[in-house]
Amino acid sequence: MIRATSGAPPGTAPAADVPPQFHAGGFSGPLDLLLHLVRVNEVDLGNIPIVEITAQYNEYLDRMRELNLEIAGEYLVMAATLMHIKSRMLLPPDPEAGTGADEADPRAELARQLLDYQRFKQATEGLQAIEARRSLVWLRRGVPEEFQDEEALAVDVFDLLRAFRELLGRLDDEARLQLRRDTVSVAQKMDWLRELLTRRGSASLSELLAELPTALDRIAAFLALLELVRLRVVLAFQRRLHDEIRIALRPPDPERAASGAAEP
Amino acid sequence: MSDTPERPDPERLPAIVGAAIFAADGPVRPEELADALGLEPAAVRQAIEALRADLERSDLGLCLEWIAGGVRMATGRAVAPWLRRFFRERNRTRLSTAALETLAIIAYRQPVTVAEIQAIRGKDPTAALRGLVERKLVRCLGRKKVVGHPMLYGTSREFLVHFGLNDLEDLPSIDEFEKLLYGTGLGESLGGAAEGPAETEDGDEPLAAAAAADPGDLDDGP
Repeated sequence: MIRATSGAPPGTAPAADVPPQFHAGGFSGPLDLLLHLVRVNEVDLGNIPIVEITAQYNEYLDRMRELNLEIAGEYLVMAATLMHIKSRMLLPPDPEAGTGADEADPRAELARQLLDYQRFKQATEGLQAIEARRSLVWLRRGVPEEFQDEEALAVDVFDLLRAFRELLGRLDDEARLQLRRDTVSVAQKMDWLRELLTRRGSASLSELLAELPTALDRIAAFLALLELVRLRVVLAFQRRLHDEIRIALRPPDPERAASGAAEP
Repeated sequence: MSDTPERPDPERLPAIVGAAIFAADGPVRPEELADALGLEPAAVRQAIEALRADLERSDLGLCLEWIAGGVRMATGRAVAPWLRRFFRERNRTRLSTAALETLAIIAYRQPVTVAEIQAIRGKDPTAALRGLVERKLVRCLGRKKVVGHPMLYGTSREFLVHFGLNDLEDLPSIDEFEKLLYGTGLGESLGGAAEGPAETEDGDEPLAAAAAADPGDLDDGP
């Protein structure tokens, strides 16, 4: 399976010495930050200098506060854990707790956790590398994956309108008490739809409209949908006639992309 | 005496298989194709292998890759830089680090609960998990039989597709990743899924064994 095919495409070779996680001081959690400190101090996970690391960890939190960054609760929990370990390390062993010799190193649990986390960080980087490679493989542009099992019944504007009218009637009763939004624009709803479809892949029309608070919102969203269908950004499908209408982003069209008419 | 013989001429088989794979919407399972052609799956697999070797030799810019138990046609690696200029984009949305971190834990420890993920990450994975479920990369595998019956999560077929894997055993073990990331250039060695099951069946014992063994190694659970 592992074959040495030379000549990786340019720009894909991952820089092994630059951990991708540490951009702009963003850590994915307290363990990430701690692991970073262990690395920059070049200390052994089996023998963490807890006093120094605790001080540096707290310094980091202070700096985050100075930058007005929101510090998630997990970071504070870890700070407390570090303090606790530190105090246990500094205190003489409790003579009443039995022989101090076989008392476990208070750092052991933390070290195990860090080791474990480090492994998964590695796996994360590995998955990232696979993703980078996969992004350089293209497939035939067909029906979006979501619709593969469906008989692709293209939906026209009239189907959409009919479905919309029905839904609007049904949904209106439930939403009558909503307060009115300040402004509703079709352009804004187009962005919303696009963002939502990018995130979810596909959605059913009724689901989509049900998420909106007022009839005004729904009409704007529906107009936005029509516009996106017209611009060939979005596809509308149904499994059978009169079945639920589903929509999804149309896969980018290579010809349009090549001629410079690509959607942003 | 019908126009089409009962079974295809073995010599024509790679051509038939290739055309079917080309025209299909998604990965083609050898069993399905064999069924339609009245052949043994092994014969179809053999034809797929022959075709794969052919494509590689003839340098058509295409290759066959095994995805989630089926085979499909994809663009070759050598042409990628040029295709990128043509398509003007990378063609897949990449996951955020938080999402990948959560996904890595799920992939290697599945079935796993939110609490177990949190214990490893040191951070609440709920938001990342929601995104992964929404993208169908992760699915619910049931509930763990402990207090509170927490949901158990695992990877989906979509996960295999996203990472171009034939099955979960194709996923390199974490130690494997370490070697690939910090040892030799990763760009040259993660060829994985494109190679096909012929190798998974015979010549590929070590990695498959490592991948299968690894989650077990990790699973020391508190």
